[in-house]
This record gives sequence, structure tokens and C-alpha cells, in this order.
Amino acid sequence: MEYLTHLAVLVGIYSILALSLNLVLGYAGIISVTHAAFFGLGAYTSAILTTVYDLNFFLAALCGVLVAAIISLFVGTVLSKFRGDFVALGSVGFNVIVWSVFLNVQELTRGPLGIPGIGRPNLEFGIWNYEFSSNVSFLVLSVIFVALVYFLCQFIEKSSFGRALKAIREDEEALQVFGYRTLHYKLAVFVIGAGLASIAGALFASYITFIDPSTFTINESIFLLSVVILGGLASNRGALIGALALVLLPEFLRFVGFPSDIAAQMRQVVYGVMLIVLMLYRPQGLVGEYKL
Amino acid sequence: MEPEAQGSGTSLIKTVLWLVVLILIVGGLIIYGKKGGEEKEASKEPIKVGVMLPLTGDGAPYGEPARNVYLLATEEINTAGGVSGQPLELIIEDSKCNGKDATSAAQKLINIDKVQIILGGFCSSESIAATPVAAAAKVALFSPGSSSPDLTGISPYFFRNYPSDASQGKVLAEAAVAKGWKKVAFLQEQTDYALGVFKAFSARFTELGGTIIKEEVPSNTIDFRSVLSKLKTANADAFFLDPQTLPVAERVFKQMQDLKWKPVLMFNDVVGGAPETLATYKDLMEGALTAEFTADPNNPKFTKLLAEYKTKYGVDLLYASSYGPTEYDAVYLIKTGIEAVGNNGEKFAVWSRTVKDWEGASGKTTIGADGDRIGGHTLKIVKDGKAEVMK
Repeated sequence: MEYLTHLAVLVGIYSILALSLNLVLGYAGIISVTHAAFFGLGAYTSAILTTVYDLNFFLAALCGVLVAAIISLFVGTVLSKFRGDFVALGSVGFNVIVWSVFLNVQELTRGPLGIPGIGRPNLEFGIWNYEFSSNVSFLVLSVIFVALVYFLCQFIEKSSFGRALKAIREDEEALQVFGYRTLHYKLAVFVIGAGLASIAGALFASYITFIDPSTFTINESIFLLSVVILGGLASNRGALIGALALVLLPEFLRFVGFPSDIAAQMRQVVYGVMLIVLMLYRPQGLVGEYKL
Repeated sequence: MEPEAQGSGTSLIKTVLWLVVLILIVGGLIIYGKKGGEEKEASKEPIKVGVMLPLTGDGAPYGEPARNVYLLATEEINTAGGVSGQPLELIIEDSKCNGKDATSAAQKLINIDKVQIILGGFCSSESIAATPVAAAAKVALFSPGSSSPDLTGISPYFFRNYPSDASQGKVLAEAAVAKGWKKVAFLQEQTDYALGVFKAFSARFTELGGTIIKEEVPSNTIDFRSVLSKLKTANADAFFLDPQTLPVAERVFKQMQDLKWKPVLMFNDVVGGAPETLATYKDLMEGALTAEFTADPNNPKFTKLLAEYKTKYGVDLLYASSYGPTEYDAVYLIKTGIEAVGNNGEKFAVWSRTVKDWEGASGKTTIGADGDRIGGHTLKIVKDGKAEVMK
């Protein structure tokens, strides 16, 4: 059971990442290959604040959101100068920069050694102190976060802001003709997406209790893109299904009886083949309503 | 509104269908896998030991030979009668050299396979992340490869028979001071291992009054000429090369030859443990200092390991002077431990601290109260392309 709880927590964390990326990619149509950077910023900010400065997890996570939001505002402004596919390339560059910062600013991040011994979240009211030390309690916490993020995303989808985003995705110029400042809309959703991703980062750091730069590379950004695309763009339910499928699939493949000398490689191959097949037959993703 | 609702309805059905197909495929494969397993002889209930290794991803070059060594040792133990009459069975999981997959692998081994002892992780990131998982379940985690100083005393459930990086950094710093060197140029690859060595070296060296001029390079660097030229102009007493892998070291040596730079060298055990590299760059190496954690080439257990590995897999054992022997010893230590206290993670972890002068392929193993291997690196000097113990 503990193993399933563990997987459920991971699915929860990746659901938040997928939901937040879906806002940026699915609704606004911004091809962002830098989501792992915001994931990492959240993880590092909260890890440093909780281990070095003994700050409460929830405050630290909030600080992570602020850091990610401020940086994403700046990055979003730069990225808005690019057109079309160049946004994707520019965002790759930003992911590399953030990763290099994690690797090189050793006074703060301890570089390649990573940050070990990150504590689990705890709630303190006077003498009452509750620590989310068991995996089940952590699962409850992450489910609450996923639910909050999900309802926020649903709210955005239903709102006039969400409709404007979809319109930007379909025809940005047309919307500009109607007097919308599309840049503001795109920046806003980019910042919201980054802030939400940083929450996932804080949860991740506190759950695994150890982070190092290798977790937040472009590979992770590409993995997140595939989660969202496979689940289905512009669908919050799709993001959840994508996270469920892509986190669980490689784990289930551990139980497939491949011969032990090629098992690990075969798992990767099967995983890859399944992704290709899915994309061939369902290019709009499992429940998506929009195709890139 | 009507058509949209209909659209989402059919897409939901399709999704469900797709999920069913997916579950069928995966489920079918699982059942197929189980069948294969049942065909094995069930003469005696085997003792299951978990193994975490980086079999894919960045750490895979280490994981492959490690798995071969584990399987070789297990086969030897089982043909010799097993552990207290029961065969040893390794359950190998890929932990991909990162914390996330290591926790997943550890959770699976502990909760599905119900192992009491996990052999691994290999990368320090794997061990650091998996330790809380193992400790919570009272399972022993035994690493033959993680060398990060962060692991010293991390938990009563963790121990390792590979020495901490801190030990070689310290040994080399003291040797440099003894040589009368005041200023050392330092080139470090940006990895956890190399940084660990640097930190230990720099702490001791600066404490003893030395200064360090340091440059760092990412792991994928090909051209070192500008960094090397910069370090050359520093006019240091010695040049310390601190790579993670051998190809990086060889590129640096090649480019040092091109630059006609022949400083007094120091390097970590990655280079020190590679006899071929030492021989190839013989003229650069003369008098170089290295701290090596190594098996005695005359140790019969070590030579036996080399010979049997070659017979079984047809290639020479990689990392023969570092991880190979500790991995081999680890399997035998698990056998000894289970025979002493039974297959119980908690008792095994307590027992591990009592290991003293245990004879294996990597020499005499003694585990301290903090779970670290005591002793570790010996200072060596390169003479005529060969590393010799410095007297």
C-alpha cells in the first residue's frame, strides 16, 4: 500500500505541474519548454528556506511562488518578443540558465551535491503541532493542493479571461483588432502557470527530502510537455489523466517480467513505443480539444 | 451547446476505451511475466535482497558492471550452498541515478517485494533520497558506491563499504602541505563526487595555510584549453585534476600535452585507479600524487574476482580498483550478515556497525558507528607510469 501511496503522491505533484503547464500551453498556446525551471525554482526556494532559515513549509512554498512569479514575469516579457516556434527555443534557453544557476551558485544551492534532509511540512498553532511525516498524510496534503489548483484552472477556463486566452491561441491578431492587450493576457497566464508549478516544486522537495540540479533539466520540461500533450491540450481533466498515465506507466512496467539483463532498457523502449503509438492514433491526446 | 456536449461525451468513451486497452496490455504483460517466474524451481524459499542501480540514464555506465558483479557474486554464493542453506535472490530495480526514481524503486522493493535489505543506491543522490524511505520501514540500505560526505551518519539504517570523498581530499591536502606546496591550481568537474573531493581538500588545505585557484567545468566539456591556459598562468606549485570520469581526464591530459604544460600533478582516485591512463601519459605523470582506494593486486579474492568476471562476461571488469571490489564484497557481507543475525533489516543494520577487519576483495573492511568505511584512501605516488604506495 505504501508503494501505491507513494505513486499517488507523485501523480499528485505531476498533476499540479500538468495543470499549470496546460494553462500556458493548452489554453494560451504558448509553447513553453521551461516549466521544469519554475518547478525547480519552487523546489529550491522552499528547500533553502526550510533547511537554512527554518521557515515553515507553507510560508516557504509561498515565497517560492513569489520568486517564480517575479522571475516568470521577466522571462515572459522577454519571450513575448519572440514569434511562433521561436518562443519554444527561447524558453529552452531559460531552462538551461536556471539549471546552470542551480549548479553554480553553490553558496546557496550546494551545486551538484544537492540539498539533503529537507523536512516534511508541519502546521503549528500554539501548542498544537502536526507534521505530515507519514506518506498517507502527505498524500492528503497533496490531494488538497491538486484540488485547489484544479478548481483554479477550471475557474480560469470558465472565466472571460480563459475565453480570451483561447481566442489568443486561435488568432492573436484578431483579438488585438478588438482592442485586447494580448500581451497582458499571455503574461498573466505565464506567471500563474509558473507560480503553480513552484507549488509542485515545494511539495516535491519536501516529499523526496532531497533535490539536486539534475531533476530540473530540459528533459523534465519535455516530459511535462508530453504529459500535457498526451493527456489532451486545453483540458484540465486531460492534464490529470496525462499525469496519471505517464507517472504510473513506467512504474507498472517494473512488474513486467523482462529478463533481468535487459529489463531496464526494455521498459524504456516499451514506454517510448506506447507514447509514439498514442500520438499516432490520438494526436489530440486522450481527452484534448485542441491540437498543436 | 448541443454538439459540444456530444463531442465531449464521445471523447470520454474513447478515453475510457483507451485506458482499458492500456490496462489490458500492461496487465497481460504482468501476467505473462508472473508465469515465467512460476516456472522456476521452488525447492527452497529464496532470501530476497533488493538492489537499486542506475541501469538507464546518466549513471548507466556504472550500473551495468555493478549488476554483473552482483549477479556473479550471487551465483557463486548459490552454487556454494546459498545463505544458511537458502538461495539468495536479487530483485534488481532501476533507480536512474536520481532521487525521485530511487524513492520509487525503494518503495517498490520494500512494500511489494518485502525485502529487508537493499543493496544500493549507487549514486549518492539515490542513497540520500532512499534513506528516509528505508529508515521508515526499518530496512537496511547498504551502498557500495555512494561516496558523498552528506551520507556520513545520515541514518542508523544506512551504511557503506565505499569510503567517503572526505577521506581522499584530506589525505591529499596533508600530502601537498608536507611537500611544501603553498598554492594549488584546481580543476573540478561539476558533479557531486568531484565537488565532494574538492570540499574536503580545500577545507584541510586552507586550514594548513595553502591557497587554491579553482576552475570548474561542466561534464560535457570538450575543449579545456582556455581553462588550462588560465590555470597555467597562475604559476601554482601543483595542479590538481578532479574529474568524475576517465574520458574527461584523458581529454585534459591530451590538451595539457598540446599546451606543453608539465606541472606537478595531483589527481583523485578516478585517474589514480586507471593504470592504462597512467601508462599512456607517463611523461606527464612522473611524481604525481594521488589518493587511491584500491584493492591490493596480490589479494587472492581480488584476483579471483577479476578472473571470474572475465570468464563469465568475456570483458575486463570496469572500475576494477574502485567500485568493482566493494560491490563484490557487499554481496558477501550481506551473506555474512544474514547468517549472523537473520534476514532482518534492523538487526542487519546494527550488525553492520560491528563489521571489523572483514577480509574481502577490497581489502579489510571496518564499518564505523556513523556507517562509513573506516580507513579508505592511501596516498600514492606515480613512478614510471605506475601508482605506488608512498612510503
